[in-house]
Amino acid sequence: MQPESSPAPAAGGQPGVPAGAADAKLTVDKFADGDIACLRFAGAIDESFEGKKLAGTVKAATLILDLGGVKKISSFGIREWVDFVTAVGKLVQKIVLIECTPKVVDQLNMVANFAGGGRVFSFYAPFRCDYCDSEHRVLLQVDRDHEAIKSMKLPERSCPSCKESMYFDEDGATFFSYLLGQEKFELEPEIVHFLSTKLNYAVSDVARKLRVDKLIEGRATFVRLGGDLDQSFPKDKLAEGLEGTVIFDVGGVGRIEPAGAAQWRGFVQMVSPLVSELFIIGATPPFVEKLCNKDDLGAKAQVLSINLPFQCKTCATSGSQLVDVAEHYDMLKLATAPDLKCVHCKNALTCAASEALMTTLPGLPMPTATAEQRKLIKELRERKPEKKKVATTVADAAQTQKSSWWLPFAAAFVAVGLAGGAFLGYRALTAKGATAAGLGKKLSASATARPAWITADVPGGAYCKDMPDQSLACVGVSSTAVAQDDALDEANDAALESIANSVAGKVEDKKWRAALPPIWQSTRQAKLAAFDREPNNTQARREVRDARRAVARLLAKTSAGAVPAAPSGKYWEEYESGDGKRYLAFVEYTVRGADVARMAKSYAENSTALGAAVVDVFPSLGWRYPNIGGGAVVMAVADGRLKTRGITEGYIMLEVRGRAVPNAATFAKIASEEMTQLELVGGTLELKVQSGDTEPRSFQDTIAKKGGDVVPPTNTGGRNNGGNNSGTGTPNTGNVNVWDRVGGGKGPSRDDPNQ
Amino acid sequence: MQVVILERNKLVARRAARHFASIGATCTLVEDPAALAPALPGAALLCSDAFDGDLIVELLRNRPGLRGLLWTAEPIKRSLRHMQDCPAISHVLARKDFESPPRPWELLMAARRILLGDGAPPFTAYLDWGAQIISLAVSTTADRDRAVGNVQEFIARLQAPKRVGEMFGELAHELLMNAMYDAPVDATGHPMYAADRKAEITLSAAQQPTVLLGTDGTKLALQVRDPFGRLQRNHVVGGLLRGLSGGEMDQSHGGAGLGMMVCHNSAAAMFFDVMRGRATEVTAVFELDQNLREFRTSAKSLHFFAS
Repeated sequence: MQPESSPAPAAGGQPGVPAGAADAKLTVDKFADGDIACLRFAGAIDESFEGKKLAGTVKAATLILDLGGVKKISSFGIREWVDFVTAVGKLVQKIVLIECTPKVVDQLNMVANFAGGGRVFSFYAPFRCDYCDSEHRVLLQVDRDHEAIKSMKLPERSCPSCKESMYFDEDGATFFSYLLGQEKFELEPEIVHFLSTKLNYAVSDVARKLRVDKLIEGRATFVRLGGDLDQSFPKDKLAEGLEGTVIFDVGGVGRIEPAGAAQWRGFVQMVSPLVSELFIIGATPPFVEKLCNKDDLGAKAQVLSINLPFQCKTCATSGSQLVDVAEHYDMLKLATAPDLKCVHCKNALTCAASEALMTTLPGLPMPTATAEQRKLIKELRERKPEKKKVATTVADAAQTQKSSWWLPFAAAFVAVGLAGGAFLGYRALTAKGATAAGLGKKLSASATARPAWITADVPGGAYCKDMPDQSLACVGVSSTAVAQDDALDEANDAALESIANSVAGKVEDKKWRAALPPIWQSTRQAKLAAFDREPNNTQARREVRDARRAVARLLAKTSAGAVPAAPSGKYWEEYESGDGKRYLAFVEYTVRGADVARMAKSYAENSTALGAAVVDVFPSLGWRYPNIGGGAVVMAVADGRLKTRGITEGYIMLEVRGRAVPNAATFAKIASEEMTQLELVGGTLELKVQSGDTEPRSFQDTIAKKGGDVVPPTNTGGRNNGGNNSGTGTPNTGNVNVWDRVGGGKGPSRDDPNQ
Repeated sequence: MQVVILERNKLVARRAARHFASIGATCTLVEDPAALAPALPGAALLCSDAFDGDLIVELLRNRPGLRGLLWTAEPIKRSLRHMQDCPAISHVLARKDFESPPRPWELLMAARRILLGDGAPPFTAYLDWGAQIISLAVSTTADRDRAVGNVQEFIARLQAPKRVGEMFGELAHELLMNAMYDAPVDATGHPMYAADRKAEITLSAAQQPTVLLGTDGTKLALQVRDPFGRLQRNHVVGGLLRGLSGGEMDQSHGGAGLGMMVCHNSAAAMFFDVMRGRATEVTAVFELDQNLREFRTSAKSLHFFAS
């Protein structure tokens, strides 16, 4: 059992070995049970960690990563780790991170994809006691401690060493920044069960409570026990009316407390005269050690199966295997584990049972269950218990699901509202009397008075104004930030993003207006709406910030100097809020009228290549595609090479044969150059294209040498080998080898989810 | 030597000016950014808070002989952008808050080196007189791990929080990995060990890095020196900027900056001294009187010197 508050683990400890060297080696223990696997990491994650290799060994639907023993992570270790979570994320359905050490929490806060697609369930917060100069760590769970995490403050606690108070030794805003962006969630009951009963983790008090499910089938009574066997075991109630064959499935029993063991023994004694047989199945090692000696079993109880711990040295996995006592009785009688094979690699397993457990085995009586009884037991064991009888988190989970019935409707409602095409503006942009109310007491500011260009101060807002001299003045307001620096950055990006938005509104080309804004508008509206609804939600705020940052970056790259490099004004205010100091910043950019007009015109200017008319990538596309650094957006496609391959309006051309496409004109130039070259020597025209909400994809087209030999197509994906793509140049395909094609060229078989 | 200081807090400006004056420089103090440009003719160094960094970058852009020095009480990200935009800015000095000047010893060291052209100071210059200093020899991968252990053990003996020891252990590991695997090149200039950082290597005497670790009881300093002198300014500034910009694992432009981020997060001040083709010295300084909670939220210094 992991203590809730534990002294920070000591480093080193081996004589003659420096402290850091001793804990340098990384060990990874694997535990598996059915579809759930757990990897327990201990030591330093550094260049010696082989992430992808480890990922390849995981075979489970749910993967739990126990990071409670991680002491160091080097920069190279971070790369390996990200490779690991990325690779493993493709193999499993769910990843849960538990017992993350402060070191891991630091990385979660700093490295964007450190958790992969996983969710953090529990983590250690560092505490320090100045009285006795000791360091401790306290385990927090995202469900149980949600409010504390949200407040970014942890109350002082009693020091386990000296009983004086110890304090949280981190900056809350920094330490909880990743966790605040994560939705609150509860572990699924099967994961709770796995962690609490198989691995003895303290994940849920509820999960530890003893649960009893009873099924009656004819003269057989099947009782399933789960949780800790303690004083609460209802021996009298359970014994009432028992008769015939009684089967106890004790595979879910966790800890066995002395009082619980006494209750069980009393129960066995009480029912022995009443029942014809008492079969015990799935006995766990503690159960066998504590409750399966001859006296405990009495005259009627028999153990039919045991969960014995085994290790596969090839897969380096530990897990329990259900051993049939009757089948392996001759081996067990000699205190020897049976020979079992790993279900994954088929190599021999090694029993990891303790000496105490093995010496108990010879005392087990030979089971006498008939084949018919075994069949019945198997059937009853597989039958699911009725939910209403289960007073566990299963019920809670069910309740949660029920109470969430309205969510799809709410989502649909929002979607309808947004799809109406109404422009969702920034929050209360020009609302009269809009103030930064609720920020607390103003402590200082970068100037004695607010500059006149600030006309609204709703945190997170932005607004533009056409000035009398035709220039465009846009102001961005930060949300309330812990650091002045962050606030200024945020305001800066908000101002730049609003310039892009204003310029989009000034583009007169009807085709452009019909083709481009729809690509980003719904994403922009959805992100702003989420932020508007919950301005304090870190995730919503981060999404808007990141998108604005992407738009600002694209604007700088594509505006050809029309937008000034430096703002025309900036200003900040410092407030004392209940949560400490907060900053509100304002940044103003002024763009000359001629430059605004130039941008509005140049973004809509077409270039033509490969039968497509393309325009420059517009900065607001950063809302939807934050990672693109340039490109050419397809406005229209005439019949020809691109159209045949399925490239259509709205697609963004990113690369031509590995050459980056910064804008439309360059696309036309390099596409033309590459085609000329290919027509001379033959080869493959490869285009990297962004569309929809997927990763950028490659489209390939084999170009035959003009008037000469045909170059066979190179098939990269391995998915398009059928049909006419054999490189023989049939008229239907023109030697086409389309990357995502399925079905061998019969009709429009392009595997494009956006079509 | 003319130094121009743009600082709205008069007291801070005067204190900073005193340090510059101590080495023979004359200072012009400016409170209003609008008054800055007229004060610049003849100046060798322009100092200001990073808040005015945009303006400083703009002014430095058209004045080739002028160098910039920023101080800040904020996270370093913004200052890094200015460093990236403007090669004339290679120094960011942390200060406690807007009413405090930068650390006197650091300001003086920077002033001497920028204005007088002093070379890299001895390791003892980072610590008070009488500091205890140890030197560690590292030639193999096993030595590296041993050195990391020794760093932690050294700090443990100071009865500093264990997390400080772990943090400096990580820092030592990062710096040694760079000095051992990235720095060494063969006669043709090709990296010798960078391709496989998992490999066990043994460096010759001419390739070995040296590690110095010292404390005076209030400061802790760690220096790793390699005999190659190949570290680029852009690797430091750009790398750290990438690392601090969310840590996306984009390794296409010289790494994600994770190593630099580890260094930055472990020290109150980092000094990068590159003697081109001869040696690279990286020195990290940590203040032992500061608790980790304060340390996390306080500003950090960064210096890049090249000769």
